[in-house]
Amino acid sequence: MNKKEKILVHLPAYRDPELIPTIKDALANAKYPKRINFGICRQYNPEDGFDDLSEFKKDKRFKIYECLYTEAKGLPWARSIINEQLLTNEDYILQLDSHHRFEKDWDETLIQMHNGLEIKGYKPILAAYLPLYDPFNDPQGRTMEPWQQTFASFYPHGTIFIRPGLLHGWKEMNEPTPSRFLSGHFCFARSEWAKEIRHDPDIYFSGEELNLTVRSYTHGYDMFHPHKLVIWHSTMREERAGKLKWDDDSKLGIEWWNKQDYARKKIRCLLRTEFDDSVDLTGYDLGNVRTLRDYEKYAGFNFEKKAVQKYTLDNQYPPNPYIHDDELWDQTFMKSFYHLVKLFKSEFPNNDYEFIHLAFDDANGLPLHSRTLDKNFLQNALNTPNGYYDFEEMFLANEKPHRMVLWAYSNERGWCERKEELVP
Amino acid sequence: MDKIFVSIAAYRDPELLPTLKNLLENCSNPEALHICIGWQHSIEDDWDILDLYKKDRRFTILDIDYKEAKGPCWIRAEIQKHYRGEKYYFQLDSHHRFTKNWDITLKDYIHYFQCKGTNKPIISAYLPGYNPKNDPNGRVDEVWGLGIQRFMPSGVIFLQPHNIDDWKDAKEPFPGRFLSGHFIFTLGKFVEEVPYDPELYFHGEESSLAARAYTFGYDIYSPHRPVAWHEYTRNGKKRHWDDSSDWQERDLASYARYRKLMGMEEGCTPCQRRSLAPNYFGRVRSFLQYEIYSGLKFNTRQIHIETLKNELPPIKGDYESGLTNQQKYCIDVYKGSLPENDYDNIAVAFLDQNGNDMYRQDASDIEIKQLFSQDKDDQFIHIWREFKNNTKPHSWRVWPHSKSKGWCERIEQVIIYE
Repeated sequence: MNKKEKILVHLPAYRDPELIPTIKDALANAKYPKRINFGICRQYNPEDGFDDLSEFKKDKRFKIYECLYTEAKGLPWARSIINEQLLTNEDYILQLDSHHRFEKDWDETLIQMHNGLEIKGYKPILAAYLPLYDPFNDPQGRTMEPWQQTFASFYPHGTIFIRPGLLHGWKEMNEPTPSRFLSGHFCFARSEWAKEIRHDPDIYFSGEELNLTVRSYTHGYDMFHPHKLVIWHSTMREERAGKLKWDDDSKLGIEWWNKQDYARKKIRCLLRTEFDDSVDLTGYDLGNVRTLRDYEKYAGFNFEKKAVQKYTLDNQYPPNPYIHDDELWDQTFMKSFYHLVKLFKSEFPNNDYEFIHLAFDDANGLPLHSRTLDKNFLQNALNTPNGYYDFEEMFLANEKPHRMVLWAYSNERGWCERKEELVP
Repeated sequence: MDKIFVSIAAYRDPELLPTLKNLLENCSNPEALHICIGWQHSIEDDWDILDLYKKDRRFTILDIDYKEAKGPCWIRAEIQKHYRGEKYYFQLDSHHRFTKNWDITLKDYIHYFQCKGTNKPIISAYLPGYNPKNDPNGRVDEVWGLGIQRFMPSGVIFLQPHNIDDWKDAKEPFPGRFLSGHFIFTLGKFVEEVPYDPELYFHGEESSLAARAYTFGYDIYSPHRPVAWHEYTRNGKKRHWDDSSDWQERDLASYARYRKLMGMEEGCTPCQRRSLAPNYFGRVRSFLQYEIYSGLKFNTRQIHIETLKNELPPIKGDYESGLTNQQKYCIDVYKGSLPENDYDNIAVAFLDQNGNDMYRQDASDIEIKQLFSQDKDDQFIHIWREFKNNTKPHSWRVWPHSKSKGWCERIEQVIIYE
């Protein structure tokens, strides 16, 4: 092992009380702390007082970019500052958020995992949805099993909702296992990756991971889940309430959802599901080592159809079984469907419902999807001031739904009020 | 590289060499093949010399004197002993032709169903025929399904191919209920999970293998396009039962084993079955689930109406009420016992224990003409009868009537169910 190989720990910190504990824990647990450099983009409010980096400023290992939080332009922007201005001669990059804890000798472990894959001919990126630690109860509060990035659903606007799931079978694994997605808060790779796959400042938070994933894959990179516990992450939701970027933006009157619309449009253009000449992908486009279709076949998605293979939905590890014949491949998908369900008090006027059964059928009357709306849910939904309640029902099916049925059940009256409508 | 273990059972077959050549030529990646040949041959034959492949590291050749051969299931079990963890398993006979890139097509079919959530697909079919003397022109451009003809008196299911008229419109392989011994493509672990039963002889191999595979979680499909061809006629070729004097004995033992394992013997408990053949069936699905899926009921030898009509599985209607009591028999009568040339009627009847008629359908003069005009070289005529009844007949009776001599001598025979 070459002790001279350097790692840049990439930390974008937005008013984060965990920044300094994170830095200290990383150094304390590194096998060779001398080779650990830090690239920090500190977006601060002078009134906070918890993220003062003065003590590190004379240490050559620290490269710090500071700006007032009012000047911050979002997470991808902060990440691009680190990768384009602070990353220099390091061999590896460890891209994180700014709230983490580290396993002993994490630097050695990550480099070994990485190089084991590289020897086999891969261009590896290790990526994970890290298990959690609790800043107020550490280390007892740590989750002691590794997680993976899994497909949850397609959003109506065409990107993918990725969520954490257990890395099933991890105890039997002796090496990292292939992954469908990168993770924003933990990637470990050669630093060339960070230079080649630049963070697109237009992609404002949502969709960032899918954007990096398809660009990295088409540039020839191979994504893997680490098969061991190496680093932990905190979601920091409660303690940072009111101090997140979009909260601050709304207080300052910045409409972040306008940026979000453009970000989504840009991702659709990247995924070739929308074509718009006003969107310029230069510098942030797909690579030409692999095609977008290669990624779709690898991961089991069809972006055009917003469709997924059952194999992927079952969380089986990629690559998905490869189908040469495109016509056959095209038939393997389950489709995502959305329907706006409206519950009117006037149609369900009684107060004795045990539940309402919500069902979708195909044209032959065969069931595609059904769910029970329980008592607690109905208590709110049937007592709104405007007399109705609506929600978007999303599900996967092989066939297009033809008909929706809402059918109430009461203990006294049995199956009672029923509403049926055709799905357009 | 994902390897394919190819099992080729060859018995004194002049088509072996052309089959190997065609297999290799049409494979997209011949280096990924491990071909194991059960080479049951005679030193007197000059047509199946394997010198070309003996030093080829992709080949494992089991050199077996044909006199030592113990039947098709035995040789396939012997071949499986040489499986070395290859990702895929491909089982063949030794008389085939293949489409270009057959390996890509078959892997596509497996992966297609895996992507759709089926963990263990298995592809199998009665391949359409080709003619070695007129190839490729003699290749049949059809896709066949694999159906049941009947439960034979021995209890073993007799299978037969049926046409699928609209195969050209099909967009994916069809679900199936049986496996064909001459063409199976699946995951390599099949060899470890559902190893061949060397104690079965020939009949029964395909239906028992299908039921076993299903209980281990395999889902059966048959290709919707011709992927390969098979030679059915085997005119003038030697088969094991032509050379072997004890094949009938083997067959009887094999039938008894089949009936026990498939739950068709009243006295054989599930426990005894397990001790007879441990891990014969899997635990992913039960034997009953296979019966319901395929529309068969083994212990009463009943066939579901949808299965009789060769409709695709699984059974769509109710299982129990759809089971029919259809019985189907083939009566073989020695031509020497029918010496007249002016029969105008033959009374054909099935009798119960007490000698009473259960079912009678006479052969008309038209059927009689057909019966005698079929195969001139065959020393028997074959009278087929189908009827519905809950009990099995005890015997049959054939009573010919001659125009000039009236009723002739009756021929009666007890039906042997063993």
